Amino acid sequence: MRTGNLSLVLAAVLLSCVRSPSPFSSSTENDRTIVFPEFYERMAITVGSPGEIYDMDGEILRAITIAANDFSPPDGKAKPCWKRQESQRYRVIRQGDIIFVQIYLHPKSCGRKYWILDGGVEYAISTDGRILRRRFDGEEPYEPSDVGDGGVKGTLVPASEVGRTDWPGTSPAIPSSWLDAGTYYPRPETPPAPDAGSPPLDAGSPLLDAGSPLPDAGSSTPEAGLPDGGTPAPDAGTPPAPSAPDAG
Amino acid sequence: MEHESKLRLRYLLASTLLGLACASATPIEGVVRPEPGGAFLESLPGPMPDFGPFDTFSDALLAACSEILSKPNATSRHAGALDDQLRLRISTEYCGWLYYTPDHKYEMSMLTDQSRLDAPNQRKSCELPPRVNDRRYPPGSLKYIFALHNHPFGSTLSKFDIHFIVSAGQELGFEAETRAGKVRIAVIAFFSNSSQPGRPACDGFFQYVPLTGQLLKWSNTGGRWSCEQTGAIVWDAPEAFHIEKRTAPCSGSTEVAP
Repeated sequence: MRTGNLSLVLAAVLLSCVRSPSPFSSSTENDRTIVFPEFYERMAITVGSPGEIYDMDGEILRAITIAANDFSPPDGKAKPCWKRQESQRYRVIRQGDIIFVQIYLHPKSCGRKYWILDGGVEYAISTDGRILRRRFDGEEPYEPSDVGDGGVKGTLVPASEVGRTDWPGTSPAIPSSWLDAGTYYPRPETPPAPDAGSPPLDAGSPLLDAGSPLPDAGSSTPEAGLPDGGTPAPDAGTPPAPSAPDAG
Repeated sequence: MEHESKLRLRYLLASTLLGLACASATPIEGVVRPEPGGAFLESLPGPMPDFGPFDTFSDALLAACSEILSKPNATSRHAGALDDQLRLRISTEYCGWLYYTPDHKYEMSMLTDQSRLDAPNQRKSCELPPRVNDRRYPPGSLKYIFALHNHPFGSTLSKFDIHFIVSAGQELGFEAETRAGKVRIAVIAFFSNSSQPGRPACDGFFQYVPLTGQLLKWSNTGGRWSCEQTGAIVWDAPEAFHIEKRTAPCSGSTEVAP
């Protein structure tokens, strides 16, 4: 099998199952030697606090713009809330000549209707405006720091305790505002419809529409839902205020 | 000669995997999806057929790990010879709920791989509905224990995962009273280190327990399970967190003989 034939076959197979064009159209060098920093190792500074004065380097602004446009290209068409640039959160770290930008959809940005596991992206952008690398959530395996005796890390646990959540010595580690009437138990649930079928998108579930104990940032804007990626529909609401680089 | 054999092997592997990847519309046993062109699922049916019930969440969790990782393209470690975009394309995330029933048993919902974020060669995600509909029990009587999904590349939990489970905790409760005591809600990401396609081994999972803030990595090494704390989530504000890296054994666990 020649390499050319291999590429041809792979290309044919790939083309055969394309469902929609990728919005990630910018050329990316994808330099895998670039190591992304830890975006969450300490508390971030939230830009945009009312009454405060901020000053931003143009290179930072350009890097965020390049990342945002690559992630959600501004094509002039109406987009569902979860695809809009202003619905995303942006976290930025500069290291030398590289500006790292992390983008993800905050659950509250779209009225917390979307219960999504994974889906964020990180960019490494040069100060001259090139995307050096793009990395999606889950693209790289966790790298263990070290391995203990016998190749086993951590503490051995009987199979009957796998997944336990009641380790001694732990204490509540969530904001007290998340408590419901002082307990960690669920609030009374409004019974859902008996049918497990597919109610119309964004019809709103009793749970999701039950209100949030979190202080609302005022940016949640329920929007007209779309079946899926791609076919924009007229917007049903005013887009939320643009999100500045944030604390996530 | 050896070079040609390697190329042929890569071709076969890629063709097989891509064929599976293209078959996203093909029904998969135990996996439910929106109707073509229809709305996203807002609840998952349960229980998963031929799965439970289980008396303990540990037994249910171990069974769930094998069940989820056995789904097509749930693990992509074996695709290491392919480039990044191909690896992304052929991987799939599945998600479902582990829940506690009024009969004091643990069950798993059907799985889904629905995602409005995904597109070819892009990110992978899974949209887990906030409800399970188990027709054997009255609505609202189920207790949600673990939000389950797989990470095809064995990556750690993402910020989406963190935000997901705290949102779920606020709606569904951060802990559930069971006959054996309180169980705290958590998000789980299974992984396999298998380098061979087929039925991947359950090599472990990442877990975040909001009530304790612990980020845990559970590993299965030759049948021996170990737990390690890799960090802790600290909430700086109701919507903002940072991660304190904290490599430590999971306190209080019992050392068992190999």
